[in-house]
Amino acid sequence: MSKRGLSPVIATVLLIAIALILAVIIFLWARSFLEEQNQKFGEPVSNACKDIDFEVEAFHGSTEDYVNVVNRGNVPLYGLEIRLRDEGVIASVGTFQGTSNVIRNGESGQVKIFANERIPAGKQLRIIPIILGEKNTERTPYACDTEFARDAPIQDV
Amino acid sequence: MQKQGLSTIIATVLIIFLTVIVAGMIAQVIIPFAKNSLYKSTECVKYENYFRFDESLGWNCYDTDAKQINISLSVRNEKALTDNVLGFKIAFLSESFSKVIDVNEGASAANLRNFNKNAGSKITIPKTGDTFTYTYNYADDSVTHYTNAEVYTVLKSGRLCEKPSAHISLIDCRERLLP
Repeated sequence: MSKRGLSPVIATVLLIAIALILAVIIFLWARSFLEEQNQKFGEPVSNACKDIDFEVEAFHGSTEDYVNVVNRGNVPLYGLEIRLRDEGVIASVGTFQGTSNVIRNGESGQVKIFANERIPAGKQLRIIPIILGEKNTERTPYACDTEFARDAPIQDV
Repeated sequence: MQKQGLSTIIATVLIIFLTVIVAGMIAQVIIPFAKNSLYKSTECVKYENYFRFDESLGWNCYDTDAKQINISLSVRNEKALTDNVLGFKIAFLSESFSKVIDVNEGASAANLRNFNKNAGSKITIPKTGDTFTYTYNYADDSVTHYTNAEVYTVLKSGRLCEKPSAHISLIDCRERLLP
């Protein structure tokens, strides 16, 4: 009686093929757990917040309130998130980003505060930088954490 | 005697059939179960340090005369996280006594209120990047004053994150440094 089985070559090829298919299945399945991260300079965008260096002064003008910003760091600022400090509360006044609010490295600029109400002089503002990250090839604004914010009193012009 | 078994074709078909059934079971039952378990075990990871005690307002102190504690809580500046937060639990601790209070948006909490609001008023919790101060009246508690406070995040799924989001040592309000 002749005994026949798979040749060693075919058996090896089959094993490799099965292992590869399994690896691809597991990889695709595991990838669904990972969210696409907002990145900047090839790192999570939150890391870039550490490299931000900026100075701010806030003013209560005759017709509008505004913030003067000097960007001394290596990260361009895409805008600012402005919070007002009141008795026991620090709450958002608004987010001002894009076009005229972009302040590149080494530049200075002015961000106008378009809020429902004018902010009286003497109040304290907390100014949070917004930078631009990249997510799925799309550019996405990212507001840094409050630990990277600057506090500034709003002054009469 | 004639020995008979399954033909190789039927055996192969049976093996393939069994493999497909097992793969289907894994896909339908085991994978969603593993996914769900993984999600539940990691859902609090993102919320570590979500709530923080904000010291920039100069509160986080106890007043032994008024039997009150004022604490300022801020929230991490990440919009994506805020949507899943229901509220927080705050624990006030002394050497011999502790008190835990549930704080949810729009509900009232026993003896705790937003700063400068009336007792029993609906509570608002800070949203992305905001800081709110709360006043807790501890006249009913059998303690001269509390020494520490811890805050825990409660998610909309009903999950209480067991690890404290933040911890602070309370000071006497008479010693606080005004901002």
